[in-house]
Order: sequence, then structure tokens, then C-alpha cells
Amino acid sequence: MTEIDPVLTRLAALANSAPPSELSAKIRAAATRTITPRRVHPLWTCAVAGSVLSYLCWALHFASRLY
Amino acid sequence: MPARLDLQAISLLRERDPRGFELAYAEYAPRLYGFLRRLTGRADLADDLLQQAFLRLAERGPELRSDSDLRAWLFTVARNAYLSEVRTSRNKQEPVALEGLASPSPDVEARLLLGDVEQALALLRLEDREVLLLIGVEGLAHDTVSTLLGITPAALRQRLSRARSRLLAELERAPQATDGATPRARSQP
Repeated sequence: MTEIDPVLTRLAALANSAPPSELSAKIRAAATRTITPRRVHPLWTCAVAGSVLSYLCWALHFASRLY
Repeated sequence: MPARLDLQAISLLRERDPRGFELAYAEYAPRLYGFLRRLTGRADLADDLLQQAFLRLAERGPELRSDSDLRAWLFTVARNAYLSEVRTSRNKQEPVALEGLASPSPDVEARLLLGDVEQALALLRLEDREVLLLIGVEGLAHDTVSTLLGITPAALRQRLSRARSRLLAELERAPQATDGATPRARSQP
């Protein structure tokens, strides 16, 4: 369509206002929490590794006493 | 064809990089907010729907196809959320009469330049308002809008033509802008 429509032209000239800054900050913070993968605290990694190691040591000790 | 910004934003979102969200928000939040303010006529509801749409983007962003049209996606999510809200609150609008949809008088054309369009838009039915907002204000392509609204391109052309005529009819009915009077909304969601 090459014909210029005055109604659509006028509509296209309507300005948009930015969302309130508090709302934007709230949305951005919530989005960042959702997008960013949750990081496990290093202490939890150490605790899991330690408990696995303890169990293996105990199992080895237990098995060695059987024979 | 998605914009370069869309490709970049989606690429970052797929890597769970918040900068992708920032790009999308900076580009589309003012447009979507303007659309929602005009569509709903309520600031509180527009705030809520904007939040819903962008939080959905944060959730679904990493799964989006790399060739997705982010603007169309966001507008679809926001519009669906609004329709759901309307259904829930049972806020139905009264249909606007079709009489008096003749060609605009010179007076109406002049008032188009005086800035009464916002007020006239607010008086339209939801289906008229949304088609004018998506095509006229946002400049979305017709095929994008027909997909967004779930109608055929032919039906969209018809709806756009009707909506345009109704907007002009509202401008003819509304009090003169020079009087300083504000037209009352017959039915607002």
C-alpha cells in the first residue's frame, strides 16, 4: 500500500512512556534471579565430598575386616 | 525476519546471560508499556501485565528459538495475559454502534492533528483498539499481527478498516479539542 493513511500516520506518531523506574528495577531484579543459575555454596560441595569419602573409607575398613 | 537485537538478546538468554534480558527490556519495555496502557486504560493493570510478560521472558528465554521475533512474542504474551484478566474479572465492553462511519470530514482530519487520537482510542472496543495499536502505533507487520490475533490476513484487513472507521467516528462524536473537554469512556475494562 503506497497511499499514506492519515489515521495510521497519526497513530504512529503517538509517543510511548517508559515504565516507572521502581517497576523496572523490580522486574529486572526478579528476571536476573530467574535467569541466573543458582550457585551452590562451596561448603555444600565440601560436605558432600567429605561424606562420600568417609563412607568409602568405612566400607573399605569394614570389608577388610571380613577376610 | 527477526531484528539483529532479537538475535543477540535470544542468543544471550539461551546462555542464561542476564544481559540478554537487559537488551530486550531496554528495547521493548517502553513499547509494550505504552501498548498496555492504551489497551487496558489502567496504569496498575499495565504494570502487572508488563511484569508478567517480562518474567515469562526470563523463564522461557533460554528455551526460545534463535529466530524468534521477540517483539511479537512479548506482545502475544501480554495480550493473552490481558484477555485472561478480562475473562476473569468479567469486564465486558459494550459494542460500539456502527452508524455514522462515513468518510471523515475536514474537521475530523484537522482534529487528528490536534492530538485527540489518544482519547478516541480509549473509547473503542478492545478488538478495534488492539488492532490499531499493533499496526498503527507499533507498526507491526500485518502477517505478524494476524498470527498474534489468531485471524486470517483477510480478516485482519477487514478488522483494521472497521477499527479505523470507528476511530474516525469517535473523533467526530467527541467534544471539540479546543473546548478543553475530555470525552468520557463509555466502557472501560
